[in-house]
Amino acid sequence: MKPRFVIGFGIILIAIIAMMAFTIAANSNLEVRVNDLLAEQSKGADLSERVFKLTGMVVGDSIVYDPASFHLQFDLVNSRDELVNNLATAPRITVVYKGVKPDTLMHEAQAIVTGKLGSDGRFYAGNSPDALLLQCPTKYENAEAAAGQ
Amino acid sequence: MITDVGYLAVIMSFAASLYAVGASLWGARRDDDRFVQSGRMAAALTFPLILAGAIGLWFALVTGDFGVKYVAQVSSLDTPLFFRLTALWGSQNGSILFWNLIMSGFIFFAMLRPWREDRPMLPYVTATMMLVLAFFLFINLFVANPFERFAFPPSDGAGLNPLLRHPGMIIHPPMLYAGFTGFIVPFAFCIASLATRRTDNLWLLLSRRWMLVGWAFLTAGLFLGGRWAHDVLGWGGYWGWDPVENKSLVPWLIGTAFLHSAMIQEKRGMFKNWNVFLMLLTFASVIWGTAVVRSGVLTSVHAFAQSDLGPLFLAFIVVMLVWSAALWISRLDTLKSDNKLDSGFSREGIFLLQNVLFLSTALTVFIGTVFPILTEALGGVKITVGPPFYNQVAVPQMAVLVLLMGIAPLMAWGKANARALGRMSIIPLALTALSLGVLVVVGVRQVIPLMLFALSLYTLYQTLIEYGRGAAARMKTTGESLPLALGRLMLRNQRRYGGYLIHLGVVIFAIGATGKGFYGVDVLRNIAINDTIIVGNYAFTYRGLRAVPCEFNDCRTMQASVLVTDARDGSIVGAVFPRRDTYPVQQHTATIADVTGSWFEEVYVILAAWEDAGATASFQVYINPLINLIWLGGLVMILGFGLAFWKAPEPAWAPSMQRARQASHAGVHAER
Repeated sequence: MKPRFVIGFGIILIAIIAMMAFTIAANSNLEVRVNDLLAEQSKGADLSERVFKLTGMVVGDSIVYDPASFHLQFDLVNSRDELVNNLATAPRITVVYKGVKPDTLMHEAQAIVTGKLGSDGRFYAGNSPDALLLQCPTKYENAEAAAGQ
Repeated sequence: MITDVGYLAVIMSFAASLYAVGASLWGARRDDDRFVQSGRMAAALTFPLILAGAIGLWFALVTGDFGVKYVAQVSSLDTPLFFRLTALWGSQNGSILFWNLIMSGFIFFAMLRPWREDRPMLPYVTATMMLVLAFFLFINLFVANPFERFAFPPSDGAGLNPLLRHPGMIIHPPMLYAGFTGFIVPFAFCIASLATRRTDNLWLLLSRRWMLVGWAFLTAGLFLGGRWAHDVLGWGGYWGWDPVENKSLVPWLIGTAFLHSAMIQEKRGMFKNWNVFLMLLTFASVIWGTAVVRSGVLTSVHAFAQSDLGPLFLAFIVVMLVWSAALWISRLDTLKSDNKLDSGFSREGIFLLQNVLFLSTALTVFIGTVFPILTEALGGVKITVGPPFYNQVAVPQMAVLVLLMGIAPLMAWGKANARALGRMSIIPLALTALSLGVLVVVGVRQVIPLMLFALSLYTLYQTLIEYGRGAAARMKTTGESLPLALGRLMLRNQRRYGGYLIHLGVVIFAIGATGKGFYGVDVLRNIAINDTIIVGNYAFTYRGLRAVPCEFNDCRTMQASVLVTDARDGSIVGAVFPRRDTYPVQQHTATIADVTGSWFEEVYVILAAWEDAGATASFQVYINPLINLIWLGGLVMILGFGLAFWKAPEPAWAPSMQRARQASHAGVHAER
C-alpha cells in the first residue's frame, strides 16, 4: 500500500481516538460505593461537578415519595452486611430522584444511581432513563433457595 | 427418564466433538480419507445428539419436572405450554444448550454439503468447528448445566421472567444466536484455507452465502431486540447503548465490513490479508459478545446473572486469537495482492475508507463497552461511559458511512472520474436541497438533524436513481415496460440490487432514528381523574383505572383509560389503555405501554403509578416521530438480504467456482 494511504488512514484513526478521549473525559462516570464517596467527601474535595455511579443498598424505612411532584428520596448504606447488622450506626447517603417511584425500590434492593453530590450532602440523580437502576438479587436467590429446600 | 436420555445425548455430543477433532486432524496428517470421513460424520452427529438433549429439557419443562433446577427456575405450574417451550432459552444454562443446538445445526448443514471438490479443506473445517463447539459443550456440561437436579424437588417453580413473555423475546434470542453461531462456518473455511495454503478466493466464494445468512440473522436479531425493548421495557426507546446491545452491534459492524471487502477480493484480487483479518476479528468479537452477556462482568440491566464464566471465556478468546493469528502470520507469503491500489479516488479506495470506518465504529463501541473493565484493571476504579459517548463518537462515523453508501456505487474501479461523479450527483443533490427546504419550512431548524437528514436523503435519492438508471437502460435496449425492466434488472443482478436494497433499508432506518432521536418528546405528568394535560399537539384525558383479567395466571392487571385528542381542533386521535401487570411470585411489575397516533408519529403512553385507587395517576407520555421508519428499515434490509441471497446455490460446475478451484489447485501444486 502506498504511504499516502497509510498516512491518510492514520490521520483518520488518530482523529477518532482523540474524539473518543475528549468525549470520555466529558462523559465518564466513576463507579463508587457509598463509603468511597463519603470518604472522598470527608477529605474536603470539591465533588459537585463530578458525575458518579453510586452503588449501595436501600434502607426501606427511609423511602419518601410524593406522587404529585414526583419527588423521591431514600437512603443508601454501603453493603448488605451493614444493612442487616448495624443499620443504626452505618454511614448513609440520601439520594434524591425526580420521577416515578419504581416498584423494585424496597428494603435491601441494590441501587445504582447516576448523578452528582449536592452541596447539602445529598446525592442528586440525573434525569436519564437509567439514572436509577435497581436489582433485587437477594430476593431471587432466596426464592430459588427456598424452592430448592 | 427422557430428560436423562437427553442429558446422556449431550454428553455423547461432547465426546463426538472431541473425537471429530482428533479423527479429522489425524486423517489430514496421514492423508487417510477414512478418518476424515469419520470425523465429518461425528461432527454431523452432534446436531441430532444436542437436539435430543434439547428435547429432553423441553420434556422436563412441559411435564413440569421441578426436580430439574433449571425447570424450577424458569417455569411454574401456572406457566402456559407455549412459554414452557420458549423457557428453553429463558435463562443462562438452558440458553447455552440452545446456543449449542443452533451452532450444531449450522455445522450439520456445512458437513452435509458436497465436499467432493473441496476435500483438502474438509478436515480443517471439521476440526475448527468442533473445537469451538466442544468449548461450549464443555461449559454446558461442567459449568452451566441445565440438567442439574435438586436432591429434594420443590413442588412448584419460580416461573418465567415476565419480561420474557413477549413475542419479540421469543424470536429475538434464536435470531441473535443464529446470527452469532452462523459466523462459525465462514470462520472455519478461513482457518481451513490458511491451513491448506489455499488462500485464494475459494474460501470467500464458499463462505459468502453462509456469511450472509449469519449477517441477516444478526440484523433481524438486532431489530427484534429493539422492538422488544420498545414494547416491553416501557421507556419509549429502542436502543440504549447497553452492553448487551453493544455486544451484538460490534460483530455486526465487523461482519458488514467483511461482506464489503470480500467483494473487492472477488473482483480485484486485493485486500486478501485484510479479509482474513476481518474474518478472524468477526469471530473473535462473536465470542467476546457471548462472554459479555454470560459472564456478568459488566453491569447491565438485562444481562444474565453473575457467573464464573468470565475467565473461561477470556482464556478461550486468547487461545483462539493467538492460534489463528499465528496461523495467519505463517501464511502471509501466500496472501499477496493481485492488484495495487492506484488511487484513493476509486471504488476500491472508497471501500477501504468504508472498511476503516466500520472498524473504527466497532472499536468505538467496543471500547465504550469494556471501559469499566479496562479502567478497573488499570487503575482499580470502574469508570463507565454513557450514551453521550456513543452518540458523539460512534454516530458521526455511522453518518459518514451512510454518505459513502450513496457515493460508492458511482465510483469506477481503478480510478474514478471526478467530472462524471459530479454530473451524476447533480440530480440527487438538487432533490436533497429541495427536501431540506421543505423540512425547514415545516419546522426542522436544528443544524445537526438537518445535516443527518441531508446525508440520508442524498443517499436515498442516489440509490433510487441507481435503480432508475439500470431500468431505463434495459427499457431502451429491450423495449420492456418499466415494472418489467425493473424486475428483470433486479433478478439479473441479485447481489448488486439486493445490496442496494439493504442500503435503502439502512437509509430508511437512519431517517427514522434521526426523527426519533431529535424530535422525540418525553414527559411525566400526574393527572386527576377526568382532567386533561396537553403534550405537543395532543391532549390526554384520564378517564379512570380498573382491574382487568391478566394475560397469565400468575399476575394481576390494572388498566388505565386515556382519551387522546388533537389539541388544535379537538378531533379524536384514539384511546389508549396502558397497564401494569404485577407478578407476586416473581416480585416483578411489567409496565405495558399502549400506543396510538399516526404511522408517522407514534404516541406512546405508560401508566407509571396511581394513588387512592386511581383518583390520580401518573403517565409517562412519549411522542415518537418517524419511529415506524426504524422498523420498516429493518424489514427492507432483510428483504434486500433475501434478494441478494435467494438464488439457487452456485453449482459445483459453475464457471466462477470452477475457475476458483482450478486456480486454487494450481496454486497449491506450484507451492509444492
